[in-house]
Amino acid sequence: MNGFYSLWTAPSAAEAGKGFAMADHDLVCLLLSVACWERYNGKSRLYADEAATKYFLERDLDRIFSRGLEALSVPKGIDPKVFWAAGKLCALSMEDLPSAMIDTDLIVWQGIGKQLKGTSLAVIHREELNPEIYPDPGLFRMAKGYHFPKSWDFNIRPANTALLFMRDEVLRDAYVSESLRFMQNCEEHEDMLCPMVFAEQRILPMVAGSLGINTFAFCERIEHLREQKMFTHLWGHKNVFKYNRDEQKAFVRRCMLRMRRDFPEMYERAAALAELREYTC
Amino acid sequence: MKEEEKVARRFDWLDRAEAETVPAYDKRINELSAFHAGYAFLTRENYCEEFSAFAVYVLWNGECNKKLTPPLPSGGFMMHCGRDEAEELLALGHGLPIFIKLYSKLGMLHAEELAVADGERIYDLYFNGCECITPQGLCFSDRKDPSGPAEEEKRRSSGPLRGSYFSGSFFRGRSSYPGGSFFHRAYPGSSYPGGSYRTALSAGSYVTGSYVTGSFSGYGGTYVSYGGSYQAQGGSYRAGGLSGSYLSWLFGGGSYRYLYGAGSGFSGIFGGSYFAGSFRFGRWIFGSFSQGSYLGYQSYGSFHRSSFFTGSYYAGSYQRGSFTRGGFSEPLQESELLPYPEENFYNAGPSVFGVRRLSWELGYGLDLI
Repeated sequence: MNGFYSLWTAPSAAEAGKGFAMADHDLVCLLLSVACWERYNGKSRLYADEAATKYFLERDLDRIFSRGLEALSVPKGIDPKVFWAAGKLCALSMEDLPSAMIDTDLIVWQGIGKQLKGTSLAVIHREELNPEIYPDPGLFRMAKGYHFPKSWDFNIRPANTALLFMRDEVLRDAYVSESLRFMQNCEEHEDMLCPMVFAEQRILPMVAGSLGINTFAFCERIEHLREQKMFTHLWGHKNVFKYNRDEQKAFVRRCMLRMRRDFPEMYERAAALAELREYTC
Repeated sequence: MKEEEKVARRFDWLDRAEAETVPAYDKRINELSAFHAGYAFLTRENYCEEFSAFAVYVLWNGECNKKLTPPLPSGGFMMHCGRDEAEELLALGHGLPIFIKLYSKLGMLHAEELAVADGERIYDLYFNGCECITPQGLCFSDRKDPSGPAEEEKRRSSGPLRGSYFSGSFFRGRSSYPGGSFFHRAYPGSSYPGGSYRTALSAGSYVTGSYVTGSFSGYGGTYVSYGGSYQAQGGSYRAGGLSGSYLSWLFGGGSYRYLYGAGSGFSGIFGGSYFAGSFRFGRWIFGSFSQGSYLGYQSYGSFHRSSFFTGSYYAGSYQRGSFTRGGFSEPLQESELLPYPEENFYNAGPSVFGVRRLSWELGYGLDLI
């Protein structure tokens, strides 16, 4: 099964005011993720904007993706500070289906093809309609003239898209189109979570529902994430690694050890990188 | 003025010089000792009895923080201390200095370790994403720095500054011009006239500076009275190949104790004299200002008598500290780092520090690696 990753660097450039560079934990996690996907599931590709492409080519890392790199662009008018995951949706719009969209901080430790047989839409897990994360959409500041489609059922639980499998192009096109429309009409500039997760994770199952497509989730309840053995997702823990060097070092070392044991070719690539040399084992 | 600018110092010595290669820069930074880079504010609402920890609100020196990749946030940091200590810290009623140990990789600055200091007590400060209630009522005096070359006039404050923190920057004149900043803490009951000062260290050099009080007292500075003819003190500095930073405590009698000493690239004596830091943190003696930077245990005899910096010393033990490579040695009392509140995983029930953001977002499956 094909999979793809995406890297849109505008959000990090906007935040830091500096050139693009991957943090050690992000880089090693991506390498491990690609290694696992290529072994257990299929071929992978990276959609990358200019800065990310340059970063990967400079490090000879384009070769880790057996389907190579593709250029990524995001429409103007989308605020990268607020809609930091817009690049994922643009990548999805370009990908041939069926395919799985994988977050760069997600590792899939097993083959998932069997579970997806006959499925049009699968996500890693569902989420609850926590009003702090998913407020009433009527509270979003939207451009004049924007309306939410009447076919949407706002009672449907959101779907986390750290892993998103799609088979249906009609669904894909409708989802991407509605998400981008929301992002381009949203006039929020300060909230850096709620509008984004609405666009990416709440719209998806509502669009699917309006098309009569069921959303399969590997974990229906978020509590099940602790017991499962299929996925590693850094998620918000990235922030701990960002600001806690001890935790970061420990994590990167563990990843390097795991790569050396199970994915020696990828380990060699990682060990050759200046960024990861201090973690070689 | 932005809040971050109110505690600004001059940190351009953190920048890579034009002629400095990236490896040389990395080495210089990695050999720096920790230095004062912000203030920690502790409040009762942010103390958790269960974990014996404060969620710490941090005000970073903006100039320094923006050089980091990434810049550090104001919240999400935790520091452990028991109830009794917590009460003592809360009773202080002002911010505590935070020290940062930097590391540089491929020319980019990062925070390696952090600690909060209260005199002889040092507390690990680490990020775990805990939520922190922003304290109300923080106030700062206006910042003032010399606008140009070292001031020629000796200035004194109008009176003693008691129980207040103040920091400043200074230049050493004539033979070399380190820029620097330092931090003094005047203990209650002592009297130290303030004002930016110019102090003769030798016939050809002097220290001048201007000061900004740390939190809560008025503008002023310190005239440093020295117990000996060659005594002086400094903060972060850059002179020839020597740069670094340190803090000092000024106690009655003019003896000095330094929190950290730093030096990187110091190649020995210049101008017939050199900075030798004899200082005490906690009750250990630390020496610094030599090649590379280090904090280690030094006997009294190894300090150079002809140094500019002398002080009284004694050895002993100290409480926690977690810096390495020029920082503290191992803490006496280990404290288990709190990753994130377990009970928050299911978002059930009240959470530490009133965390509302769902902590299960902190990741899953990390044990599978």
